Amino acid sequence: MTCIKPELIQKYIDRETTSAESELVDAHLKHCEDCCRKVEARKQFSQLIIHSVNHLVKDHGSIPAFAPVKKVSGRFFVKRRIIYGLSAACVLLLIMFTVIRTRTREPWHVSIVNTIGPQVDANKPITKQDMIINIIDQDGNVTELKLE
Amino acid sequence: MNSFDKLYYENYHKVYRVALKMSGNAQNAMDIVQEVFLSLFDKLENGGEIIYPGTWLYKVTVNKCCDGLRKQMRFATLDVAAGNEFHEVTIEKQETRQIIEKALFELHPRERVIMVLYSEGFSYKEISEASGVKFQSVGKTISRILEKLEKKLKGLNNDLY
Ligand SMILES: [Zn+2]
Repeated sequence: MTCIKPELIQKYIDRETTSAESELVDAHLKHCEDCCRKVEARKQFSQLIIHSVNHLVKDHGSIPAFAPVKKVSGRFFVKRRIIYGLSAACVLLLIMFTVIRTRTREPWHVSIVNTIGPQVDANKPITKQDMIINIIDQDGNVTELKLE
Repeated sequence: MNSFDKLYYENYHKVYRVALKMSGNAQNAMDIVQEVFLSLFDKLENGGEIIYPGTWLYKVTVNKCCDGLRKQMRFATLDVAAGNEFHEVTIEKQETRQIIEKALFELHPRERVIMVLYSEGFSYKEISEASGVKFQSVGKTISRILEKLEKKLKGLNNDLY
């Protein structure tokens, strides 16, 4: 009789063998010391790994209340950065524009009003909300920049 | 308590355990759990039916963990050296444990999933359902991963001494 394959040894120690397979293994183990050693070694190694994986859970913590809104976490980091970048670029452009105007003509004033869009969707994270930047110059002209 | 809340409180820790074992980091695990239950919430809100919520939750958790790990293989900032609470553990044992944890986190996410579900005491049938590995292949897969780990550990041990 040939020796037991590793796969069958695994099933045997995990009690996943069919009754026919179990009989076969038991019969073989009665006269094969080599396989007995293999079964014992695999049993111990499996336990060691199970124990090590379980050790990763040091405590469970408490169950937080469920909020059916997507949390703004690291995953949205990139999108958020793009929006911040765009905002920063807009502001920078405005400042440059203002400086140029100041140098060439009389002082020129603008106001920047930055708001979240009129339709706030509570089910969307902040990064998915429409953002509107209103630029109001001293003549009262309003330029609306919409970031979607 | 509605059906969602019931599922949430009954399964939170089960999902959390798997997510934590996969990510090795409590914050990431909590984010994954939140996403998993958000999917469940959406599905139930939209009138979807789930016959076996337990299996469904594990499946979604496994997929989210693997997706996350594939996207950023450095996802696991291990909290290994975090606690000094295990005074009874000798330094040698601590080292062995760290070596094993390192080897576990070097496995492919799909392999790690198998070990995580196995450590949860799942039957081969449950492992198959949650991971998508064919039932007939579960024993072979576990055996193969354990062999791989054994080899890795021998290698890491040799590097150490
Ligand atoms: Zn034999």
